[in-house]
Amino acid sequence: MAEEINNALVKVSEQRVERIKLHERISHTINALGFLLAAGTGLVLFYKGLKRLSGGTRSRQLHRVGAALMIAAPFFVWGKDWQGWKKTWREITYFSKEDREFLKRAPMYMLGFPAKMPLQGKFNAGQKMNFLMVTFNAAGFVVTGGLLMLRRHLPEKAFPYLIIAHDIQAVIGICGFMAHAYLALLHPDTRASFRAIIDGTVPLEYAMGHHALWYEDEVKNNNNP
Amino acid sequence: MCKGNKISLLEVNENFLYTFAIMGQYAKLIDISKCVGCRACEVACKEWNETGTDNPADHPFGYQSHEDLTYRTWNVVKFYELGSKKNNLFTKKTDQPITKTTDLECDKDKFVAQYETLLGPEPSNLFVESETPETEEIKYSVWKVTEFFEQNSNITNPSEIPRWMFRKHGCMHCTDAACIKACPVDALTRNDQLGYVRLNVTTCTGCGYCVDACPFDVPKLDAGAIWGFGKVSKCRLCSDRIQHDKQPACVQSCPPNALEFGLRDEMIKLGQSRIADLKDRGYKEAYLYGEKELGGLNVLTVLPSKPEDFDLPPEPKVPEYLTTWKKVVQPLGALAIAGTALMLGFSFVNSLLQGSNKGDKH
Repeated sequence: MAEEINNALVKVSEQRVERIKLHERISHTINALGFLLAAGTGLVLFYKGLKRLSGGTRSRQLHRVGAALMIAAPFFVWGKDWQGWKKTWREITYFSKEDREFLKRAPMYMLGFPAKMPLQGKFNAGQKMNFLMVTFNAAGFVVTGGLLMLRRHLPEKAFPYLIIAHDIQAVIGICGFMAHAYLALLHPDTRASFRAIIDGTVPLEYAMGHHALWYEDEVKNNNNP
Repeated sequence: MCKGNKISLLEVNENFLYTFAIMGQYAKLIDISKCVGCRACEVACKEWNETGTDNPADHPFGYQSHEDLTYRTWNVVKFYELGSKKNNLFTKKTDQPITKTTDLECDKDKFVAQYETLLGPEPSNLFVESETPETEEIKYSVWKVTEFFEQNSNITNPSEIPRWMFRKHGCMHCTDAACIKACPVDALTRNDQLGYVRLNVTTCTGCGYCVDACPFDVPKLDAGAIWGFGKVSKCRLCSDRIQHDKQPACVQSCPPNALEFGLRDEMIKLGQSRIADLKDRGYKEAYLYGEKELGGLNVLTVLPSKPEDFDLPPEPKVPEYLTTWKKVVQPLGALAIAGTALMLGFSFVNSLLQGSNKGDKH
C-alpha cells in the first residue's frame, strides 16, 4: 500500500505541464544570445580592463549582430501568435493586489530568506517586472543605439546624452539579466523552471506551487497531460 | 639608464633609438604668414604615409583640395579669405558667375591702366571675346582689386586688405589630449618624450569616440565605420621619420619654409620672433597658437590674426561630458554590476544555508 502511494506520488512529481510554447522559446533564445553578444562586446568599450578582448573592429561588428538578433527576436512571437502576445501583454501590464504584495516580499525571497509569497498567475510580479524592463530597455536601446549610429548627422550636443543613456541602459540590462539568470539557474526554489525554456515544460508540482492561480484557471482543465 | 621608467614591449622599439639622444619634446611650427597654399605638404604626407587618394567625386571643385580632413588625408591646407568683409574679393564669384569681361560695368581704358600699374603691360588679348571662364575670373579679380584700392586708398593696416590666407590643418598633438581620454581601449596614447599622440591601429576599434571628443575635429573614421568596419586615422607627426632623425614629410616638402620642425623650446622662440616681426608690420592681433593651449600643443601655429579667423577654437577644451561619462557614469555602472553580482552570490550562499537550517522542508 505504502509503495503504491509512493509510486503515485512519484508519478505526480514526474508529471510536467507545458508552460512556454515553441515560438516563444525560440524568441527567448535568440533574444538571450543577442543580449549576451551585445552586452559582452559592449563591455569591451565600457570597462578598460577588457580592452584586450576588443579584437579590433570585431567587437563592434558583433555588437551590431547582437542588436539585430534582439530586434528580430520579438517578431517570432508577433508573427506566429499575435493574439497570444496580446493576452500575454495584458497579463504583464496588470498588477493585482497580490502582485504588489509579492513585490514587497520579493527582495527577501531573492536574498534567500524564507518568505511566504502570495498566490500568483502565469507570470509572477517579478517576472512581469523583468518582462517590462526588457521590453522598455529594448525599445530604448533601439533609439539610443540607432541614433548613435547616425550621430554624424545629428548635432554634436546629442552625443553625450545618447552615449550616457546607452550606458545606463546597458547597466540596467546587465543587472536585470544577472538576477534573471540567477533565479533560473541557481536559486534553489525556482531553478526547477529552467527546463521550461529548453523543452517548454515545468513540473506539475512547480506549477501548482509557484503559479497556483494559473494552474487553477487554465492548466487543471485544459492543459492537463 | 632608464631605471624606474616603465617601458612596455611595444614602446621599446619606438624609444630605443632615442634613449640616448632625447633632448626634449619636438614640435612643428606652422607659419601662416609664410604659407603660399601650394599643398606640397598634403602630397608629401600622402606619399610618405601611403594613405592613398580619396574619391574625387566626394570632393567637388573648390579652392581647397578637400573641405576637411578625411580618413586618407591627414593634413589639408585650408583657404581663408580675410580682411574687410565688405570688399571681399571673391564674393561676387559665388553669387553670380561672370561669363564675360564686358559684363562688368567698368571703363575699359581705366581698367587697362589699373591692370598695367599692378601687373605690368597689358597682354594684347585681354579683351578677346573667345576666352575660357578661368581667365575671365582672373580678370574679374584683378578688376576688383583695382576697384578696392581705388575706393580705399587710405588703408594703413595690412590686415584690412582682403587676401587669401592658408592654414595647414591637422593633428595638434595636444599634451592634454581629449582623444586619449575618450579612447576606451587605449589605442591613442601620447609619447611624452618626443611629444606626439600616436594611434595604434591594431587596437583601434573604430568606435569614433575620439572623433566626437577632439576640439579640432581631427580624427576621421573610415567609410563603413557605422557598421563596425573601418577605423580611425590621423597624423602621427611622422613618428617613424623623426625617430630616424628626419623631419616630418610635410616639413621636408615645404617650399617657402612655412613649416619648421625641431625641439619645442626652439620652435617657440622662433614662433615668438615671427610674431614680433608680424606685429611690427602692422598685424596687431598676431598670436602664437599652441604655446599654452591644452597643456601645450606640439604643433604651433603663427597666426596673423585671431584664431577664430582660421576656424581654431580660441580656448580649446577637453569636452566636459568626458568627465561625467568616464569618471562618474561608467564607474558607477561598473559598481552597480559588481554590486548585483556580489548580492546574488550572497543570495546563493544564504539560500543554501537557510535550506540546510530548514531541514527537509521543500
